[in-house]
Amino acid sequence: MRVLCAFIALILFGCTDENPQENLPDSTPASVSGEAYESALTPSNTFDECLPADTDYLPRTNASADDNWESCISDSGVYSQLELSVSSIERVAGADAIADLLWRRDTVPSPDDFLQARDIYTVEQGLRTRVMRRFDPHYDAPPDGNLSCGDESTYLAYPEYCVGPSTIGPLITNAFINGIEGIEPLQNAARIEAGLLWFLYVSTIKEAHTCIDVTKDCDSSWAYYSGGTQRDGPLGLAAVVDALSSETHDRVFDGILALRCWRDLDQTTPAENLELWQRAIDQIDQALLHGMSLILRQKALQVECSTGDYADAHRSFLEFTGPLFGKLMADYPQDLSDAWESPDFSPSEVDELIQVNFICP
Amino acid sequence: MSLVWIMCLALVATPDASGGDEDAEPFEEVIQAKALDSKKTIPGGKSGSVITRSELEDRLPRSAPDALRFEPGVFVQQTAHSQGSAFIHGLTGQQTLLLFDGIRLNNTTFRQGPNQYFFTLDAQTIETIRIIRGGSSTRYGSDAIGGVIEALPTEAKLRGEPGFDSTAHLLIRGATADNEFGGRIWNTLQIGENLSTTLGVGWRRVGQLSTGGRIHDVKNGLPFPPPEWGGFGEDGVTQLGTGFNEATADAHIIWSPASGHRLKVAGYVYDQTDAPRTDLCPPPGQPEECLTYEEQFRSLVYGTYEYNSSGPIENLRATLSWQRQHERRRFDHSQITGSLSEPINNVGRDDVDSLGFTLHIGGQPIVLSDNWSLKLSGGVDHYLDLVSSYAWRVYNDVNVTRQQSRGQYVDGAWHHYGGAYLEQATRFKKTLFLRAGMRAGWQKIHSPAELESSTQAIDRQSFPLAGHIGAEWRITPQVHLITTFDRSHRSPNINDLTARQQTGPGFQFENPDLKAEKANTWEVGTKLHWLPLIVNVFGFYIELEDAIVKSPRTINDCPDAATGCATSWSSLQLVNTQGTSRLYGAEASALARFNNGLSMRAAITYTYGESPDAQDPDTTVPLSRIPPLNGSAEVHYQFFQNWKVGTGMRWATSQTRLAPADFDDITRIPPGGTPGFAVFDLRLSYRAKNKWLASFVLENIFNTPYRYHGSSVNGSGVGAMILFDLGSIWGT
Repeated sequence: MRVLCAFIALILFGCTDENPQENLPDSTPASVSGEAYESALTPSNTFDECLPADTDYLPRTNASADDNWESCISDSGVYSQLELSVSSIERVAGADAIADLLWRRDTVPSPDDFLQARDIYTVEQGLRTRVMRRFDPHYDAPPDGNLSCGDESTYLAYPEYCVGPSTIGPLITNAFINGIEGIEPLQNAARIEAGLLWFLYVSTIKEAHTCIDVTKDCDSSWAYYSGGTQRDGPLGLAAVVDALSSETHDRVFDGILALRCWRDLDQTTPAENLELWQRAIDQIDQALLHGMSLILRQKALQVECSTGDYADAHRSFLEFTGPLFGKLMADYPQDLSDAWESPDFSPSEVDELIQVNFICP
Repeated sequence: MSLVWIMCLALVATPDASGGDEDAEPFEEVIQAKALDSKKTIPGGKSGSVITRSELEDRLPRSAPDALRFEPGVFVQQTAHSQGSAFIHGLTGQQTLLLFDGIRLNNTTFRQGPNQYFFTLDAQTIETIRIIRGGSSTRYGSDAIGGVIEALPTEAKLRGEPGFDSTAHLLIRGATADNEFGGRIWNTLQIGENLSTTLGVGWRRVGQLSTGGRIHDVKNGLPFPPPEWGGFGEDGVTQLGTGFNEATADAHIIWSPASGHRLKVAGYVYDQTDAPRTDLCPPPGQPEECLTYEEQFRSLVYGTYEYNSSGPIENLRATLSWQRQHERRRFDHSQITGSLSEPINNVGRDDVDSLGFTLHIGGQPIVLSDNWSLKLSGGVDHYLDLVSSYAWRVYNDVNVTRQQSRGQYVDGAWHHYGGAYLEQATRFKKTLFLRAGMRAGWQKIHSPAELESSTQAIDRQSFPLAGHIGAEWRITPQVHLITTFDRSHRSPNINDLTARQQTGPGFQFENPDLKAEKANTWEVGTKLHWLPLIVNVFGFYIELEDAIVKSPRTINDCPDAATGCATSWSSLQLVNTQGTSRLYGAEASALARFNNGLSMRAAITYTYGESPDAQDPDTTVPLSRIPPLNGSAEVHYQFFQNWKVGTGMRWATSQTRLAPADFDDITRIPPGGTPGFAVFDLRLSYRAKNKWLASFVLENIFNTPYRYHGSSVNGSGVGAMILFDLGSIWGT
């Protein structure tokens, strides 16, 4: 047919496909029920009994002079980038822009807000591309050495390791679709929030692991946590953690600096001093998981203080992040495991169960 | 001023009374090796080569760019199976000029780096390809810094006597490595003495390419691309992101109303569809994504008037042309999870309509004295490119389509460019030729502002100059020495000044402040003609001022609202280097053709390029994608008049001198460099007295994994290629 068309249209305009016709969703926000709890809720924290481990890097204490780390580039307390340009920073900026459109606002997001947010999510080399390849190094990699979660057979076989394409990606995509169609805007915004926060959390850890082989991934670990900022101006996940506990945020940032310190002391590729790396990764892991525990506790409290769709939105957040979080606990209480989707959800009980397991960052 | 005077003199002077072939020929330098079986020529004083239809039928190239692979001084890079870009003197893309029957293919959207556009010519309609190495802006205008590649189409011959002939041809070709199957059918009508027409259609379906497997990084020996990035099928040799479809149509009418006058009206349509870009289908580690050129079309219509006489004007050629370059890209973001199988598409559509006019006049030689004569030629050309560009994002799962504020370019941009030139060749006896020429050019560019994407308006004009001077000393009829100096230029186009695009090394955004790049090229060489041996050796040295190169940028440099810039693995901007970039190298070729049917040919090319680092001008770095030392060799033996058997070999050494942008080009260039290769083909053909042809090539007989430096796609693995030209399947 094309041959015939080309022949007839010789010297004219070829047989090009029609341009896509613009077709936009209804921009009217869906109606929601209930009320939000307006005031900020902060879970209680006391770190009086918390002491750093002997292996921890402590740049806030006498510029690391008193810890068991050699002098390094991070001692000033400033993260020193390995590369001039860190593209992960823009992905965190994208997550923040999505937050402003969908959940960090006073009004209910409209279908058009969801569409704009999805545009940001779908940018080339943007959040979506990284979500769809993200693996969680807390879990065992496929035995064949294939670290890529991109192909379907791999991520279906290893859903926990391939948490991005198996779990986070579908959640976010479904939430965007429903949000654009005007379905449960608050709940779907919360699901996207849950997915993106978990993605930032896993990415911080993942990049810290792959920095052994790819040096610049240390920058990405720092960027996915802090949004490419220093300690005092956190963005993205760091801003959320800092708002709940500045000490927890500081401890995470100390861990990030420990990672950079290790890469300064061990500049071989792949890295050789894995014992020092392990110390850094342990420090990040403990502090960041503590930060995630605070986020979950806050959400639990918000369930209690909100009503209707607002409360359901916070429940939606917990329904997603709760099981993922629980599996990372050294001792995952059955009560907590049962709580996430229980009709008798008890926010205060969840708060307490998490708190007792995460006392020190 | 003196040139103008001489031009006037040429118009009134009596042509050389002793004219004839003996005197005329030296002005049209007989080209090197291929001159033995071709009347197509390279301009006097230039280096270059010519590919004939006969050679194409022996080699069976997959495309027009593929046809260039055995030529001295040419190195063909491929970003995709459906693409090919030739390097000449270490330069490619917008730094070389592509022509089809004298009409520019280069337009204002040609980007920095390799491009796909020479592929958009149907190789089955090409009679000859001329490769002119070295700067040629005097004659051809902007972009001709590295050289010129001109495809000349097949043409129906005039019958030359009363009567009527109608012949139809069918050509079929196929290849096993990529499951290619296609052909062309055409009909020629010869009506009376002075009129002939040809009407043809072609088609081709090309599948995924089977290669020799992954190549290996020169330094660490690891497979490239890394297996975890994907890129190859489970068999380890089928390269993903390959294959495409083609449909072509062509027609031309030739009318010679009187002796010396010739009119031609022609049209060519090339439609390429569903051609994935290999390096981005899928991108590394993202098997759910794919960039596909859904449509890559070229439509060209032109008319030429040619005049040849023995009067003051020896020849004249005027051309009017309209050309549309159409491109529609689709970037798929598949969800591949659960029931969400519908992809998200980013769709971009760019059209460039080019209106062109060229006029070239060549004068007869003018006798100045017993020993001196002079020949003048000159012309004028002008092109207008009109750009339309759109982009959309399509969410199929929610039936939403949103038009983006701008496409790759700003819709409504336009670019005028052209120039007038004058060239002279002065001859002393039959031994010394002095050649010189000059061009005064002009260009004016407009691109509207686009506020939503923070794109600023562009309005600029310039008047570039070009020129050349050279000498040729024919020491003996067998030994010619040639030296040339050429000043050529490339003015920034709408792509340089306004485009936002994902390139191999990363996201490239516009630079509205770019200056033109200027090249001073010195060439020196010799042509040795001791039949049956012909040897050409040329060296070149290029100083490139204000060279336009890709320079790494930080996220903070990305323009506001430049979607995809800051998130890309690297951000780039075209900049003029501070200081002078340098390229030098040498090309040599040798041909021996014996009366017993044996012919041999070999070529070797070396190129070295360096440039001030765009970020640290005090540091010198390699220029991007400089080809390694490379060459080719062919041996053919013709027997029983109709049979020909032969072998061809292409080789290249490894290339480990990488530019900063090459290190970012993670999908095409291994971080430790591209390995060398040597690939052998076997050939066999039978020609039945110009009636029909069967040609067979067994390519890459050792199934060697190989990749031309800078390519995304590997060379094909072992496989058979076959062509049947059934000649005149009916006719009168």
